Amino acid sequence: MKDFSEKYTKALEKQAAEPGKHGDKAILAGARARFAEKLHGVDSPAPSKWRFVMPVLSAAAAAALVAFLVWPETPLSMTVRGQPGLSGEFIQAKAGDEAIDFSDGTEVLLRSESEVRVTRVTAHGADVLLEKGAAHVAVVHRDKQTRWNFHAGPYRVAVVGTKFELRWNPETGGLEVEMDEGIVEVDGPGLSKQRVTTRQKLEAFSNPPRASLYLETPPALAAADAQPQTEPPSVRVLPIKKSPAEKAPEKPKAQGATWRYLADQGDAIGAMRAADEAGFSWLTRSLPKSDVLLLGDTARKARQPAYAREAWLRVRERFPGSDAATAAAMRLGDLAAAVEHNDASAAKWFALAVKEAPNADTAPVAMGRWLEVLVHDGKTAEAKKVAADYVKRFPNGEKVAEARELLR
Amino acid sequence: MTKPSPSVSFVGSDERLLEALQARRPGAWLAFYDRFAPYVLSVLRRVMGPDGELEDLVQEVFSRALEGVARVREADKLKPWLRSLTIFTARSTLKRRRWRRWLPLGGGDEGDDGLENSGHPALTTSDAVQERLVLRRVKVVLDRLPVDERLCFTLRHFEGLELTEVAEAVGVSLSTAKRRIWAAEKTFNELAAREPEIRAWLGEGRSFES
Repeated sequence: MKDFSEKYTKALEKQAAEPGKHGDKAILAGARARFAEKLHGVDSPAPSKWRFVMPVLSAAAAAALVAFLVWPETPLSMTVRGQPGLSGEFIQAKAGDEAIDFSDGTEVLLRSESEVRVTRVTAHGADVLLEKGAAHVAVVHRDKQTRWNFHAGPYRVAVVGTKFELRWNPETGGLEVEMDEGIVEVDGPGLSKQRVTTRQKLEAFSNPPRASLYLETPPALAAADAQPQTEPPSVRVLPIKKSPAEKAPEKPKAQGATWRYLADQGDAIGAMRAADEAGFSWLTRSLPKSDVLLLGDTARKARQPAYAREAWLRVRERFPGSDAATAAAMRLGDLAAAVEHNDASAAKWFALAVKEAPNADTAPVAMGRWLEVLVHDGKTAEAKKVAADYVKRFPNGEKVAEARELLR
Repeated sequence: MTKPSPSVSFVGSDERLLEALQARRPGAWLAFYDRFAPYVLSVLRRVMGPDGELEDLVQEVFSRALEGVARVREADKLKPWLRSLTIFTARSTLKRRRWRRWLPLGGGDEGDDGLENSGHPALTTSDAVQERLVLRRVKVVLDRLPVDERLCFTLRHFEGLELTEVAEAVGVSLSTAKRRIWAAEKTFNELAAREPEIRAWLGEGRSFES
């Protein structure tokens, strides 16, 4: 076991040192930005013992509030990581990567041999010009006012809460936008608000204007298990949205029905794009319940939880009391637990699924999940009640051992 | 109004850092993150194996730490406490994934396993490809172990903790930790021995049980 452990941990360490999003460097930077976002409002000094000065401070606070309302908001601040005190509008990475931290948690990792110019900083974002080279961007979406724009030559990449790699070669006029997650919109020669979403890559050239959009589909785990991964992930070419000047006047409107076909083919992202073109909300209001459930499942697979939630809530609104409504409650519970990390909300949905269909096949699963999220949330007393009920109702249930352990 | 997130490293001792955290001094949390996040990630990597959700997990550990740091009394307990928190987070995630397989969602949020070929030249050699395949197969074997046994096993063999540290990290008695490690070793050896890629990688004539 010792030989194996040593060799295995070395292989793990090698993976940790790899470049790219699964290396330690990228993971730590990403988690740091998100943690910094969470700290907003937490990372403040403990209450002072000098309570007698409170009346004076209250007056000062009132004055500050007036100043806040009258004066413009303070713009974000930025620092170059590892070089305290060094900040500026023009930043050049020579030998290695340079990380630029903004005070809202946004990070721009400027790749080696690259240059950026921060042309404008506001309270809600900034305009950054990539003069040449590449940068990995992780924007923190704080609120609806968040506005970040990245410019490269004649292109503009408008961002709201996302992670992506941006490359610009001024000599060839070539632009690349490779998405890790989220959505950006690109404007430029031949492009008008071209959306690029998770796992897509846009390549564009300014002269003559041309662009290609690719969807990268990693091989399924099961298939990858069966044979060595010697081939790169499959890449599919997607249609590019034409700029208004190039758009054919009689271009037929996209047909929303294709979302179902694409979903059946396992292309959740393509299906979501088609559903979006047809009008996602309209589909949730007009399709039969099984299709709305599927639309939600497709959104979840495409990692668009807000859309999934909308679809499943619509099922509950349109078909109350049906099996589909209970199935939607189960899905909403799972979404709350696994994606939103909101155990209280998850518990509510699972409890509802149990209450609505106490004798259905879904009941033991729903009750087990309810129990799990209560334990996870530290609601021990409530969990014990559910555990007792679970043991009584489902003595052969899959969760019975854990329920009994809890009751000991 | 936003406040700047300091990027200057905190140079004080763990005692000073703990004081600063409990007094909620500005910047202390990011300093805490910068000091301990690499360790948290290292533990997660060993326990979870290659995984596409490591970033989420690191962030979750530190979010939980925000709520619990007031209960840490001594600075030398800071790291073991954070390790327990990391194990707890990994355990919740692994259990949740098991549950999720019950639901007819066809996959879920596990995403990729963090082993896709990024196309980097260093990662496309045959050795690197074989190594990724082995990491994936080991993960498949680990995923088949009961979660609590897997935690004790990986902490002992991959993280290299002493038995008492394993017991403390997972919050069980020493004898329970030993029993779980023993059970996991038995299952792991049986399952891994059936994996030709793992056997070949380890080298002919070498055994897991040596």
